[in-house]
Amino acid sequence: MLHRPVTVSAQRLVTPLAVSWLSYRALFSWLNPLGYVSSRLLKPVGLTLGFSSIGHSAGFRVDYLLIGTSLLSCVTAFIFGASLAVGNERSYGTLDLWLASPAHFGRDLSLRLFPHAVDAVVSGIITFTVACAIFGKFPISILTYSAAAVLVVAASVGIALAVAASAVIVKDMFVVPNAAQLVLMIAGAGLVPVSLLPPPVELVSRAIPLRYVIDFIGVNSGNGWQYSHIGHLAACAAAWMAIGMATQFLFFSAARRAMQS
Amino acid sequence: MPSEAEIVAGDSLSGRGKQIASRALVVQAAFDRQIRSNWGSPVAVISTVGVPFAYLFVIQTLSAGDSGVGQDRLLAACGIGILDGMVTLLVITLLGEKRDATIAVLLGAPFGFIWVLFGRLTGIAIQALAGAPVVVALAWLSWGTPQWDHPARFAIGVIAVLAGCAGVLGPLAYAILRFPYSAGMTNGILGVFIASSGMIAPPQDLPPTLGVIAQFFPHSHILTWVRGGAHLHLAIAIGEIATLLVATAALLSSYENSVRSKAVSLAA
Repeated sequence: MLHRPVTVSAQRLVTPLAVSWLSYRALFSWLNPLGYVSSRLLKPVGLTLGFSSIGHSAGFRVDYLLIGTSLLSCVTAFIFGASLAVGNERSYGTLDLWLASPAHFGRDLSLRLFPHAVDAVVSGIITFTVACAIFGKFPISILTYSAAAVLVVAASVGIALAVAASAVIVKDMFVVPNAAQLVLMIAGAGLVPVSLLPPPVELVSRAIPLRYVIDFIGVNSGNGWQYSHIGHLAACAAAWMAIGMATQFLFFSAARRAMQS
Repeated sequence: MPSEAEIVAGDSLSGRGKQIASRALVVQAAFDRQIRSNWGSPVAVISTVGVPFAYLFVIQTLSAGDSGVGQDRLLAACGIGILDGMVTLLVITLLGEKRDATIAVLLGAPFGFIWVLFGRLTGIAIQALAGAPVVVALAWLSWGTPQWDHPARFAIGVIAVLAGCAGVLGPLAYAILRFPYSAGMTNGILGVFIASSGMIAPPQDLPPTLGVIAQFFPHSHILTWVRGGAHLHLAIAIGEIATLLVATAALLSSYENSVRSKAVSLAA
């Protein structure tokens, strides 16, 4: 009996992690090396090398693109993972069962997103390291980059929640994350710095956390951390969190109600 | 559905008749089976129009190009759309054939399986190409009249890039048919292509190793030719494309033989 409180608290920790892992393991056949290496390593490394070469060709700073593209790849990996964490339930024919279960979707979804957040950060760090090694230059240390990757993924949780929730409503689970990826490429400031964006696109970029992370780590100024941008980053991340939670509540309730009627 | 043992090539026709019928089969496979059944899928539209426009936006904005997109950049962007669209459509199409167990029916085609698959590839190529005029129109609207230095070379370049993508992706069609598909296995193709094909950034602007690899992609030579390079580059590109297409035909033929001799399961 003396051990009971310890067991209960251990269970409280282990059960959510088990839910996270089971969802990741069961819904993602890409844990096989071929799919994982292709999606999480070849694609982001290739894009980072390609865009950095484009920058070199256009007479633009390769440093910026090595950091920006690999951070962008973190966010897109997270968003695609989040979307598939819900959408694959439909592919495997288990979405109805999940919707009919008494699960708390907000909690369940957050647990499902967790492994993808970790995965996105790891993939981002590998991408940055490999691309920089091939170009023979490290514009920032791997440690600084890792901190930026954690920050950008944490700030994008709201976007990931909204995209994941949309997979309950939109049948083709690739449409929303692909569209989000396009917006991030054009307006996310990972590929094109804010100072070069046309005014309407710059306006859109204000709603994207990646922009503020790039400002925060000082990629533009080259003077290290720029703490004055932390407020913008926090506000943007919080706004997306609110949108994400509202979206998931709305979409899951609607889907559940549609099932009952 | 005919059993695999009953699949016999159309022996009753003369050589000329077979030739005409095989061409008809390619056309039917391209237009009926491919285009009609996959036209307008939202992901295909994003791949063939959205993605290339995003690339063009990045390239054009980074180089501070306010007036007209260069025709080489325009071709490179169209090429990205063609490749991305073709990868998406190949996967959707061939996995659909596997899922619906229609490969056995295709093997019953009177003049061989390869013609049907080349028809499918042609349909996929045409469908992927359909995005190119939209990309050109969007570029025109965004940055004004493109810089048509060599319009004829651009037009030929589009066809060559299309054929090059079909050649590069031919072995992928074989891999999808022959081996069990694993989700995400095709995602890296665009990355590898962008990093090492020499189409988006010229080979001399790539890191040295990738610059050497780019020489083996027909696209780097096509783009060099479109930028006003020697005709030799186009010849090299055509040679590389022909080699890739012959390799594709050989791979598909080996797959067909393996399936007919029941060495490989259709459900693989």
